[in-house]
Amino acid sequence: MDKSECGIIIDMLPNYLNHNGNLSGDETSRVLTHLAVCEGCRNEAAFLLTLKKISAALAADVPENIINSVFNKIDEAANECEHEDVLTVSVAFGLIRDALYTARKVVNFAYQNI
Amino acid sequence: MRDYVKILYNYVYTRVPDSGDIEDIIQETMLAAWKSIGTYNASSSFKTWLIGIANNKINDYYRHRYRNRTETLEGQGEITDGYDFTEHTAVKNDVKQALSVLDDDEKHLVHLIFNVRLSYSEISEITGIPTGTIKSRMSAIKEKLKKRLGEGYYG
Repeated sequence: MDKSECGIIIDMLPNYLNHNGNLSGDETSRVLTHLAVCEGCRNEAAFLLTLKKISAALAADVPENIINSVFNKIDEAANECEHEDVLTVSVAFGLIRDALYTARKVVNFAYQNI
Repeated sequence: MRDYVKILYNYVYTRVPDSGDIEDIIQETMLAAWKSIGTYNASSSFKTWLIGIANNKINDYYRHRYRNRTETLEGQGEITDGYDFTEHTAVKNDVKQALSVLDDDEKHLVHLIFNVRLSYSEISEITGIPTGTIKSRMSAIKEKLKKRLGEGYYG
């Protein structure tokens, strides 16, 4: 077993467990491939999952209305634009809103296409 | 969008005490991000960029509230701004027990990793703390918790 690979994988595990797109497809494959053959790192991943559950106690209760209020503010700003700019703005906004749902690569793509 | 607002909220709430102010800062941050999306150039991650905007709004908030203070809160090598997690919402006793072995800096680091969902390099960019230091702190946190949780902590 390559111990240096364990060190690298262990550093990547929090990102892997967060499912948040910080890892590229290749990096995710690398983690999965290593976990398949390394019991030590599997145990470490299980422990980090426990740590993640513990850290949920530190998380904020996000108020229900906040997402709607954010969108309302953005819609208001869009409506205040000059009429001839509205189409450009709303197209841009539509692209941005979709992009915000996905990973960083898609944000770059939307940026290049605005 | 929902995920980014949650992430942003978890970052801002430990730095700003009032829930109304938190909401204002979140709205202003998302609005500013929408307006300036054209300037995002992927030299940093999207989350880091968004949190950078939030930091500016938070600094404006404190400058407005405390006009005579000159220090800013970011990049001073500290993770915590003194947010006291012990005042947090009621949690199960065994979790409270586990958390009690961590100091405030350590709780903040864990919070940034799992609730704000930042990578080590993103945390390093935002706090100014070197990635190596962050990794060592994380190792220390894991050791403390493994000792505290004892055998069978895998479950």
